[in-house]
Amino acid sequence: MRPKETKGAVESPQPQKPIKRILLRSRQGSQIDEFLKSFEQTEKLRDKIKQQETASEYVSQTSERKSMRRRFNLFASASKMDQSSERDDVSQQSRKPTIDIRQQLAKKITYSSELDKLLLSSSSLTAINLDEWLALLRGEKLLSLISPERLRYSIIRGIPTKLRGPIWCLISNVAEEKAKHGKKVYRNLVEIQDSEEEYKISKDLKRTIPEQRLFQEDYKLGKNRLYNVLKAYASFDNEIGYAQGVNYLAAILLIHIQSEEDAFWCLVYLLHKKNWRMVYDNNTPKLMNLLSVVRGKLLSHFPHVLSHLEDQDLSLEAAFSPMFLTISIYHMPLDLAARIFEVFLIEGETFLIRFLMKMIELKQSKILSLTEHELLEYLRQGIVIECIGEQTFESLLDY
Amino acid sequence: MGKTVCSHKIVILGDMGVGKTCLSIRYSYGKFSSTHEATIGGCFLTKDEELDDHVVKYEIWDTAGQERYHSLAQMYYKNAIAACVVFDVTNRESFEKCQQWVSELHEKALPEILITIVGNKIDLDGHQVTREEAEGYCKKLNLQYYEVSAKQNIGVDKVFREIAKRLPAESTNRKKNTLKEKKKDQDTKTGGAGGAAGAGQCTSC
Repeated sequence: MRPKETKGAVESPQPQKPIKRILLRSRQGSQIDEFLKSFEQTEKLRDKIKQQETASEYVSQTSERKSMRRRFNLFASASKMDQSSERDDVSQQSRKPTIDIRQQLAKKITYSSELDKLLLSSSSLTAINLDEWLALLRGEKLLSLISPERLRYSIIRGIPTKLRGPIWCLISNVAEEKAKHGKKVYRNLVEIQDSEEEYKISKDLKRTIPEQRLFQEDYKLGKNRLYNVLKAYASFDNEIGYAQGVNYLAAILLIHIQSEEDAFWCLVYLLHKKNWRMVYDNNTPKLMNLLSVVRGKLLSHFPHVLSHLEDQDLSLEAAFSPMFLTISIYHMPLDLAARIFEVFLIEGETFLIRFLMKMIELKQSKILSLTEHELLEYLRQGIVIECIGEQTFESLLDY
Repeated sequence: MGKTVCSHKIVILGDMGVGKTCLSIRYSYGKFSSTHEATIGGCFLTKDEELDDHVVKYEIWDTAGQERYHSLAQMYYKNAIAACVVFDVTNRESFEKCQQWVSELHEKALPEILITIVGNKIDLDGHQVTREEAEGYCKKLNLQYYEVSAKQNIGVDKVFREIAKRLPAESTNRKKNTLKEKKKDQDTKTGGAGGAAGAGQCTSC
């Protein structure tokens, strides 16, 4: 329907990083004037990135189409996508700082906190209102025309609950992905035979948010939406296949997005395009990295919390891996889970780490007063519910 | 008067879907749960097992079974004094996986770890692993073998009772001092409970 426009729209959160970099550099005189000046520079940068993206997108489209034609050789298609995203990285020098920022987060945490204060206090930012969201969803207005900061600000402030699913799809570029791959792809992915994956997925259907009794249908009849989405993803990315944890991501998508095909493309965006899939790779390399970032931060900012966990023989893996593996959906009230999920959708893993650190900062004395069961439950769930209940979402990101 | 309480850490391992969580819940809470969630990143339960001369306080770590989360399981068995490796008697593959776990534990866990093999789901038809075969395997490695049904509550309590009897009659868990002692420590260090919170304030935020 509007492939070009939505494409620009979805890519827009990514160039946000160069903005940060420029801002970080000029932080000594970090006044609003400086901010505006660097913002102009970034606008130019963003245009440049867009041009490059259009070029590399074209390459990846053609190569994907070829691979799809190769009788759903999905291995090939998945790795093609990988390659094309690698190409993106190579061609876009401006994206490199993203990695720097992520790696050096520990050092720069104060910087980004300043940045956020600047962004949040900036009077130029007003949250996108209902009419504007509707115009965006109808395609009357382009998401690419909304600055990443404003989009971020609006999501953090909260979006209309009823529009949640469509907005997630808008951010995840679903319309374009669907148009690019054609209608049959999703169905074919669901139907590809793979008994091992099917068995694994089927085991978890009734064990995903069971108290809601959401996904109870017999998957063999083809009507279990969770099964279909997970099966399609396992076929799409058979290097990862089905991983426990992804069922929660798919579930929250299906709760808010009516079409299972749309939910599937949203999942592809998150796992594949945003590369969150590495959290689920064999022996969970990315999860281990994230946990070591958490360890580093605890060591430098809250060493007493870390030593309390050590005294309790509670590993960070035990305490926080469910949070990363399910983006905090596991054992969480669903409305909170959705809020966290949508911020993650635009912010990625840095959000989870900052969110976690902020909560620990706020609740450190309570953490120190708990042991065993209570401590684990609190770190996994209670702390999130308590913090979101007491604080505004914005302030919880202000770490 | 009161018996000595010995605290021990035990880890439950095994392939996905063999019933590790059902087994732990059956033992800890005495009920069968058909609606619990898939275990993500491990689950912690406790249970006291009263023996003639002392009480064993179990700290049970139930783990996620999927192969890819293997590296996480290592964090759980690291300091464990006992391990229950579970398989599903109606699923041969899970028995093979169980043997892999045993080799890994022999290689990487505490040398004194007490390993017990548990064949679950004996209430179901279509057994793919016979008692003889499993017992034969355990005999070779000098391990205890039990067949249970977490669903119908057959044999579960016995498994943990037998393990408790074989564990040392003193605590083996690695937890440091109790919270009370710790609080005392902190109070003397910071001069009041309020100091504890202040001490952790991150200066950069």
